[in-house]
Amino acid sequence: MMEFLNLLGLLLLSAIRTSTPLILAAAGGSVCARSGVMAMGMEGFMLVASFGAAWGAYTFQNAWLGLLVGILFGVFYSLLYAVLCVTFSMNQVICGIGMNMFALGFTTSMTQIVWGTRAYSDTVPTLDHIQLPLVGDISVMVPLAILLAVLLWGYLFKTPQGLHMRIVGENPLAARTIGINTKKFKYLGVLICGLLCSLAGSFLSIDHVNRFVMDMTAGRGYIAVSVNILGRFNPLGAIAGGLLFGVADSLQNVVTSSSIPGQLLSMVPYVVTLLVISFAVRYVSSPAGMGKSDD
Amino acid sequence: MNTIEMRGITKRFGSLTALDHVDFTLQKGEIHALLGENGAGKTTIMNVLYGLLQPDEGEILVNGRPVRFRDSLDAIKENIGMVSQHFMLIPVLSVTENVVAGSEPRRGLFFDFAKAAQQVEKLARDNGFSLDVRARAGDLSVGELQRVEILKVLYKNAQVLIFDEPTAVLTPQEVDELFLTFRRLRDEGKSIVLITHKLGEVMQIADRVTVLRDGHLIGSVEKKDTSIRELVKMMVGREVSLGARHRSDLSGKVKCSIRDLSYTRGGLPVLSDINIDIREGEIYGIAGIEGNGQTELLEVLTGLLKPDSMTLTLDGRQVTGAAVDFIRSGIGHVPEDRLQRGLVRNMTVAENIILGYEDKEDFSRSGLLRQAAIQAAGTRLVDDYNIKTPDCNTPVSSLSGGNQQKVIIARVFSEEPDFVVCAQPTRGIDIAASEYIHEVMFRYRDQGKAILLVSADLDEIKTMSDRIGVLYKGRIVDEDLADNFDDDRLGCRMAGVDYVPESEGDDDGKI
Repeated sequence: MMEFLNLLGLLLLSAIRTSTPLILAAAGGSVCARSGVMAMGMEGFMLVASFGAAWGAYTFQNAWLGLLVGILFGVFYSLLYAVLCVTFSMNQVICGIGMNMFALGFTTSMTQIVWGTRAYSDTVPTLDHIQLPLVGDISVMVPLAILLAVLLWGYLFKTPQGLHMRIVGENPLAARTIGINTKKFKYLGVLICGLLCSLAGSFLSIDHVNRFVMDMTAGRGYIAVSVNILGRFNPLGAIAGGLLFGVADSLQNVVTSSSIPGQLLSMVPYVVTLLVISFAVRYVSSPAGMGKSDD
Repeated sequence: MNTIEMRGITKRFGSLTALDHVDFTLQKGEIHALLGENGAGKTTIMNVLYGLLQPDEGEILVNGRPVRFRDSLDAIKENIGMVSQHFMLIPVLSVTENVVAGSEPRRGLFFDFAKAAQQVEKLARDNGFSLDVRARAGDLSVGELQRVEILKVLYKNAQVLIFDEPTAVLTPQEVDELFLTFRRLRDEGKSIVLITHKLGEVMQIADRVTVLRDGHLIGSVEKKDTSIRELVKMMVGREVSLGARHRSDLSGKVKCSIRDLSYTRGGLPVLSDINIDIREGEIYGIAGIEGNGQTELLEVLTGLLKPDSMTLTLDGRQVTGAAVDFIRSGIGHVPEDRLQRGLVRNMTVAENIILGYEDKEDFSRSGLLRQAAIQAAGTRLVDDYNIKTPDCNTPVSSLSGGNQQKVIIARVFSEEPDFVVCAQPTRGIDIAASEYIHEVMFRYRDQGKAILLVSADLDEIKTMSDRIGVLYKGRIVDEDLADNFDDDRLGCRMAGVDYVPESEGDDDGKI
């Protein structure tokens, strides 16, 4: 019995750690989706920020400056997405996937240039952990992720600004007829998403572990898209959805018994993604204007 | 002083001049109809007034003061409000949120929903609307949605209210209620602009009428000094014979018989127990508010949708199979949405004219298209059906709506099907083209063919049909000779209400 409880505790702790980047990205993604822009580029935003954070931390030998560089990289990259999709009305799926692929190539080449090998960087300083009651030593990003998700929920559903953003996401033309600047809100949505994805990406390289690794995000940006749907495009839903995926992902770290092959356990998060996409999606209605250009 | 004065407004879209030095004035406390055909520039000039479009030339004065609108926010600040033809409501939000959006009451940083709901409730009560202000907009009926739109404009304290074709989606009873609201608002000193192409409405409600044609101002007249005949002449630019028609005597034998048609989707009945017989030389009209099963009925009758049960016979022969079998058995289809189902935009007029008939002997042989024959057919039909196009190799997308519709009409009717399913044949096209299409339909009927007409335009149903069936929630709830229907009876049956004639005995007791 004690052993089981121990295992459960370990699973939860591990789930919280692995779910943190998903919660951050999905919470950002829900704001982006609510403003009517598909959050297709999250994988790329995270990856670029992840590299930026490692590079910054390595160059300045300071994790906090690394985080700052990571945010700058990620937000700049999301700004590029906003310019292409909002100002130039590019197809958001194609643009997002293109930017994700570019991010992979770019960060891999940069790793080669900076550290001489494309596989991984040298070790870099990491963010200090904090002590919390009950859970003990934990990354500062964990409470930050929860806090940001709650704040964004309040913004979206409790403020007039949030109402405006949701109207833009539902029907941009209707928003324009009541005098709402649709482009402003779409930019804001994408940039908030970029900021949160930057935190998520930086968490991976200068907190979760202490180096950047090629393709570090490994599809988390795409998983965040499905967490986003599962959470009904609501930042609070992103917390719940993120935890579900965290648990799925942590099984392989915790359940080490030989009875279940590790490969099967590694499959779990992707299987959950598939299940979400095939079954949950039909019960969740996306913002009606998502993915459409306004004019 | 005029509440609104627009002087010499010109608006160009590329090489097209949508408005050419148009003047428009609006006085306090009047209902002003803006009349014109589709594409005359009515909506364009109102979009300019509401700040959604910026004019290339001209100026706007509000209460004598020149103003410049960069966007609709500027217009809202001048107390101008607009109810668009397509409702600008967010179905997932509550009535309250929809009404106050853009000028929400706040408490600190937050949106004060309780206060907003209170304000909207009061506003609705003051205007005599009964509405649940906490309901989701998506759950409301069309008439209620329109009331929400009106509240939305009034909440922003509009003194000038622009309505773009507000009656297009309403039942006759709802139209009456809307006009009552108009009169009340006018008596409160507000000014109303009614964009419309329906002359009956203009004569019923307007104080003054401004007519536009092809982006030009034709003139402004007082309602009391004009007549329908004069307005039509102003609108079209020539005399038009209105409502000249003769009914079929319904003496032919049954051409097309629809028996026991039922269709359910996701467990819900969409069409139930529909039985219709259409005779030779008859136009049978389906009246009904959109969304009561019309689309499904059309798709079933053209083989695009497989019903749960139906026996469809044409001249005694049973018709089954896929859409292509329906076409081959002699059922022509003029689809509801010409750009979605009727035409391939980027293909030429000639190619569109053979669409669906391309594997006929005339147009292809041993798997190859016979270009010369297609060209010849295209050229002949462009000529026969008065399609205005440089030649039949022009892409159909560069034609006007009316001419695009004529391409479809030419295709369907030239194949001489026994039975034509004709949906919205004149939606969104100019009077001249619709007049022509109606003529083609009448001529075809008089050759002894059968036509099923589905249209959202009640006037069209009444003018064209020999018999009318009213479709409500997937059932034919009433069926009679067209001449036995008046607006009251149609409206009641379309809304699913029992109809009680005001004077007894003048009805044949069918209901």
